[in-house]
Parts: sequence; C-alpha cells; structure tokens
Amino acid sequence: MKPDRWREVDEVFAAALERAPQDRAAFLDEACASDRELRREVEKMLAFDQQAEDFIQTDVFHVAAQLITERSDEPASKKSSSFSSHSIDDARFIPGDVLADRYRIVGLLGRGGMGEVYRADDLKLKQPVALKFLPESLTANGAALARFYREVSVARQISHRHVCRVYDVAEFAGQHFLSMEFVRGEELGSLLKRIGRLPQDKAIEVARQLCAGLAAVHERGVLHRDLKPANIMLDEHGDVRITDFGIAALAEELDQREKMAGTPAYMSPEQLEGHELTARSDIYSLGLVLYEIFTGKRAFEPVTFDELLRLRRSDSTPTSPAQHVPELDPLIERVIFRCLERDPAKRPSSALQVAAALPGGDPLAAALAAGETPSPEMVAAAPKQGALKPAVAISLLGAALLLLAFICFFSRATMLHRHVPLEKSPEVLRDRAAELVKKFGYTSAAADSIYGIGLDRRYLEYVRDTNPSPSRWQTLKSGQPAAIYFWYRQSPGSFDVSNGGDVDENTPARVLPGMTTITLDTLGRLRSFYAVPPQSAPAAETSSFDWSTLLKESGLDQANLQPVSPIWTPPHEATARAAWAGSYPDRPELKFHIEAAAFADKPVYFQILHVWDQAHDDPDNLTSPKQRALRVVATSRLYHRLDR
Amino acid sequence: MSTMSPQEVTQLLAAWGKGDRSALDKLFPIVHAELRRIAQRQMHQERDGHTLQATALVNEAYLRLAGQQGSQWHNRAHFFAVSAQVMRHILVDHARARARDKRGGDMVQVALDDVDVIAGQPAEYYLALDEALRFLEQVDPQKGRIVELRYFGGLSVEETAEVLSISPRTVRREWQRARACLYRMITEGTTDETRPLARS
Repeated sequence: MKPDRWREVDEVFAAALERAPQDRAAFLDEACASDRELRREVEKMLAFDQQAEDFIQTDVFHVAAQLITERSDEPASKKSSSFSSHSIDDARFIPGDVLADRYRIVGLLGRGGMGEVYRADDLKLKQPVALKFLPESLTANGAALARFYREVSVARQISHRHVCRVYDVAEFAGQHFLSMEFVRGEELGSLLKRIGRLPQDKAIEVARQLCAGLAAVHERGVLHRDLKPANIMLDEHGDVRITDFGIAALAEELDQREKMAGTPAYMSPEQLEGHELTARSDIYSLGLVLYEIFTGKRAFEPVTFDELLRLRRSDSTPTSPAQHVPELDPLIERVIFRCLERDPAKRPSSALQVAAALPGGDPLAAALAAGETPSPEMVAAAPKQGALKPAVAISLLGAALLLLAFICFFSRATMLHRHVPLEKSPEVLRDRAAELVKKFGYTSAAADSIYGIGLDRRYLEYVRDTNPSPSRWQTLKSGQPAAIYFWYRQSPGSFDVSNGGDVDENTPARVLPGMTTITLDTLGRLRSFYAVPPQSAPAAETSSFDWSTLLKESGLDQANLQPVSPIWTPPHEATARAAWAGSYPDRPELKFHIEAAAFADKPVYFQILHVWDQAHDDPDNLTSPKQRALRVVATSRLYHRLDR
Repeated sequence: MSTMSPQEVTQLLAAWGKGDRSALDKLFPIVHAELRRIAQRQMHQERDGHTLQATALVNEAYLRLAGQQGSQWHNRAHFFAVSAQVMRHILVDHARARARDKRGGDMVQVALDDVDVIAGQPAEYYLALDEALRFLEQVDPQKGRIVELRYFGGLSVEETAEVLSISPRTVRREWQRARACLYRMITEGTTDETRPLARS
C-alpha cells in the first residue's frame, strides 16, 4: 500500500472511531462512496481494533528482563552464584526455615562454586543477608577451617562501598556458612557475557571502582586470591561490589587440580605454580579482568588446565587489546600489560597505581577515596619511562632529557597537572631557585645541588575534607597555595648519604653551614626557604636584613600583610624574627601566616603556613603517629641529581 | 530527571555533545536512576527475582546508552526516545538469540505455536512485532514512534506527548489505531504475500 493510500485509510479509520459503533456503517457509506477497497480496509481495521484491546499490553520490561537473566544464566549456571531466580525444589532449605535461630531463609539465590547461596533475613539485625554455604572439603579440614575463620575475622572489618560486606561465619547442623551483605545486582561476568565489552567511559569507571575496592581489601592485609568477573557484582546503582575475597580460592586450594580446571583462568602465574601470593598476584588477576572489561574478550582462552599452564609458562603475551578494540586508549593497553607482567615485581605495586594510570585517572582522588596516602610515586604511577628516575644520567643526556621527563611526568602520570599552572619548565624553576639563593646572600659556589617536585598532601586532604564540590580541584588553579611545588637545595659540600637513603628534599639533614633549601610554587613564587647559618657567631647580635626581599619573591601583596607576633620557632639559629598574617586576594576565606627569621644579614627561614600545616609537636599531631609517618612518606622522592 | 531539573539535564547533554567529558560523569548516575525509575514502574516489585532481573535490564540498557554517541542526545525528551530504542533493541536482540538457540539457525518464520514462551508469548512473537513495527514506521512514522515510546520505552501517554510535542489526546488516538494496525499485521502475517496492507 502506498503511503498516500495508507493515510487515506487511516483518516477514515480515525473518523470512524470517533463515531458510535451503530453510526459507523452510515458514515462509511458516505466517506468511502464507491471506493470499495477503502471501505473493506477500514472495516478490517475496525474489526481488529475490537480484538486488539489486550494486544501489546504485555509488560515488555518483564519480557526483556526475563530473556536477559535466562540467557546469562545458561553458561554460568554450573558455577556462578548469579543472583537470579533459581529453582528451590532441590535445595537443602526451603523458604521459612530458620537456621541457627537467626537466619530465616527467603529463597535460593544460586549455586556458587563453593556451595548453595541463599537469600535470608537476619532476624537479629533485621537486615537481608546472603548466606553462602562452604564446601565439605573445607569444613572437613580442621587447619583450613581455622585459617578460614581467621580470614573471615579480618574480612569482616573491611567496609568499603565497592566491597561486599562480610558479616559472620556460623554453623548449622555441621554445615558452615558465611553471612554477608545481600547485594541487589548482577555479576559482571554475566553482564559481559551478554553485552561483550563495556563502553570505554563506563569501563574506566568500573575499573576505578574495582581498584578502589581492591585497594581497600589489600590495605587490611587481605588478598582476594580469586578476582574474576564472577566475583564482581554490579549493584542496583551500577556500582562495583567485589565479593568473595580470600574465601573462594581458599576452598579451591584444597581441591584437586582437576577440580580447579573451571576457574584458574584468572590466576596469576605464581598462583598457578603454587608459589606464595602477594597483592601483586591480585593485580595480575585485575589485569585479566580489565582486559575483559575493555575488550569483551578473555586475555587467554585455554581449553584445559594444562594448556593454561603452558600458555602462562611460555612467554606468550595475550593479544594486544587494541587488536580487539582499535579505538582503545593506548594508556589502557599499557596499564593492562603492566598488570600482566609475568614478574610480579614489574607489576604496579598497588591497585591505586592501576587506577592512577588509567586515562583521566586522578591519582589523588583515587588515593584519597581509598584512604591511602598519595605518595609521589602514585602521582607518578603511570608509565615508568615517564616518571623521573634518579638513574637518568643528566651528564649524558643533558638537561633536555630532564625537561622531557618533566613534561612526560606532568602530562601522562597525573591529572593534577590539569589543575595546576605549569608554564615554567623545571630548568627555569631551577635557575630561579639558584638565583634567589644568591640574592638572599648565599653567594659561595655550590658543590652539590639537587631539585625535584613535591606534593603537599596535607593541602590536598584539606581541599578534599572541606570542599565537597566535584570541581574542588579547580581551586588548585591559582597555584598558590601550591599543591605541587618545586624544591631545590644546594650545599657547599657534597650531600653525604653514606648512612643510607637517597638524597631528597630532606635527606641528608641540613647541618652544614651554608646549606639551603628553597621551595617555589609552579609559577616560581617563593614558598619556603631554609638556610644553615654560619657556625662562627656574628660580630653584632643584631640583624640588618630587609624582610621585603623575601616577601617580594613570594608574590604576595605586602600592602595586605599584617605584621603579627611570630609563633613558630625558626628551625635554625636566628637573630631576628618576623611574622605576618594575610589572605589570598582571590580566596579571601583562606588565611595564611608567614614566619621568617634572619641571622645577621641573611634570611635563614621563610615559610607560608596554612590551617593544614601542623607543628610537629602540636598535640593533635602527636596523638596520631601514623599521620606523622605518612607525612614523611608523602615527601617527594622524585628528584634528579645535578652536577655529580 | 529525578534529582535534576530537565533544563539541567538538557544542558549536561548539550555539554556532553560538545565533548565535555565531565558532563558525562554527572549524567551517568542520573541516567541510571531514570532507567531504574522506568523499569520499577513497569515491573511491579512483588518478588526478588524481579528486582534482580530489573537490575540486569537497567544495567544493560544503561551500558548500551552509555556506549552511544553523546551528540545523539539533544535533550531530556531525546533521552527518552533513545532509551526506548535501546529497550527495543535489547528485547529484539535477546528474542532473536533465543529463537536462534532453539532452532539452531536464524529465525525468520513466525511461529505462534512455539512452546517456548516468555511472559505468555514465544520469542518469535516479539520478532514479528518488531517487524510489524518497522513496517508501520515506514508508512506512518509518528505512530511508529508512539508505539516505541509507550511500549518499549514504558512512557505514559503524557510523557509520550511531551517527547513528541503533541497533545495527549492525539497520542491516545494514534496509539489506538497503531495497535489495531500492528495486531492486524501480526495476525494476518507479515510476509508480503499475506500482508494486505503492503499490497498496492
């Protein structure tokens, strides 16, 4: 039927519907006149309209959902703990059964690799739980059971939004079972089976959440041992929940090799070979999971366990993910391959490093989200060749390489650079630092000097804790206060590190008269300055130093500074002290306090202090030795040795 | 949508279309919540099985949506239109796979007597419905869109009217005629030989 004709039929049909049924015949006589075919078509439509009342009333969402869950269950039903409806007929317990006087069975959720999984209500805590029954092989082995209880006691302390909570382990009629958080969601495994790979943006989000959850597990000293898509759930909000850490694999360890054949696809080489596992073994499994999320394919497709062993023992690397997905961001491919290094030492050392290395990975956000200290290593977590390494021989490659490394460091390794002004190259900053040191009166030639990049973790934590806005990192844009700062130190003698350790911002300690340390923000404005005064006392006990020399270099408007009483003891002997209070013009709510000290005619101390800077002997500070330790860790160890 | 005004969502969609990735980060949770709302309204949550199935469905719809080019979403109404399309694809893809699994080959024939029934209908029924709808879309695009939005998108008459910028009364009337037409095509068959509407 031609569209014109269709419209004609439809118009008459519409007009007929407007009329009462008994009037329709008369209407059609008139409307169709001699066009008998038209009349026949309209009459048919009217007849079908009568019958179509119940037509397409079916709930299409039910239909689609039913199809989806049935299909994803098919291949996985043997071992998955897929939380979809399962027949209760042959289950051990039926709805209404109460176990251990506490758990009332609601239904069978699935049959996992370990045993049956039930949905139940915890009558004591009045919350829904999932009960996972343990296999006989585990419960029959006293030592393994004891170890399992130990694992659970640690695992139940892990509380993280991307980790499925473990509540307790209990026994009923000789059967041990685990009670854990009931997650309304589905396995990543069945989702991947249905839709193949995830869209890249969502995949990155899932990957980040996975890393954060895994980091939280590792932080407690628990290893997952069996990270795979079937042990990762997407909850009703589409958020990742890691399940079964430390547990599933324990059961499998006890089983025979043949029985393992179904699951070792996600094990690290060291795990397959029975060596001791570390967090980096989980990182390997994470790499395999990421491979699958981003490509929809498994990195290795072994048919048998022996083949898998052979594949892994040989130096065969998986197909490049980009071959499956040509538009894949190269950063993703790189991080996946780093996770899949055969040598654990070459893998990223933490899940947070993996998160940081992902495109757009804000290492600080990732770290802070997981409650870990953002060490500079993590900021530089991305490609090794991009990070500054002391081994880079400046003498051979020259400053150009250093500049290149610096640019790589900021462009690839971190997103922080996007928020911090970085117009000045490290060379420019170094020259400026050396020039300032001279200007402050330390003119004798330096026998040794070194510079690097530091990260003010306390400032970043302050931003995180006080500013809930998603655009909070935008506040770093002004560069002052500095989230990333440049440090430079020089010494009239060689830096002596014979006691061990590397030369860095604080090592070795400043002891030699004439040693100076200066820090600048990324635009080259003075942030702090320290100098060791001469050992022989000056003739006069007075100071003739002009403070404005220092203040001018800080880039702060001296007219807005209020002289106040000094509160912090200078770190070195001083003959004069001064202090000012002020706030930044673009952020009036952010107050600072400047401390300065001079010895005779040279400055020995200058520091801009903020609310997040605590004195080492501050009572709050002393009560938290962990924080103090972390602060030391947070000090940069990214540096280059000069003139060696 | 549930947590933001339609204007804000439209702005985010526009920003995303222009390549602003941070807009997408803000959209993800909203889109997910919106899909969940539609699915929950459609699927009465009387059993756990349904909740969990709905989660799987929402996840899949969401991922398919997220995989689409942002520039395709102009505004909130457009989002509904796209999500209805996605729901339709999900249903049809799975029905086709199901039919293929059972038959061991591509399913073209419509077989209403198939014993393998989903929610009262065999998988093939949904394929036939999709085919009929495709025909309807050709001859009468507006009716086609109304069916897609209402049936596959789960939208109410009022929401459908808003998306298409027509009156709810028009939606009701068009819906009635579209339904009769689809029913006729399904009943009489959708091959050229047996489809009177296609004959000209």
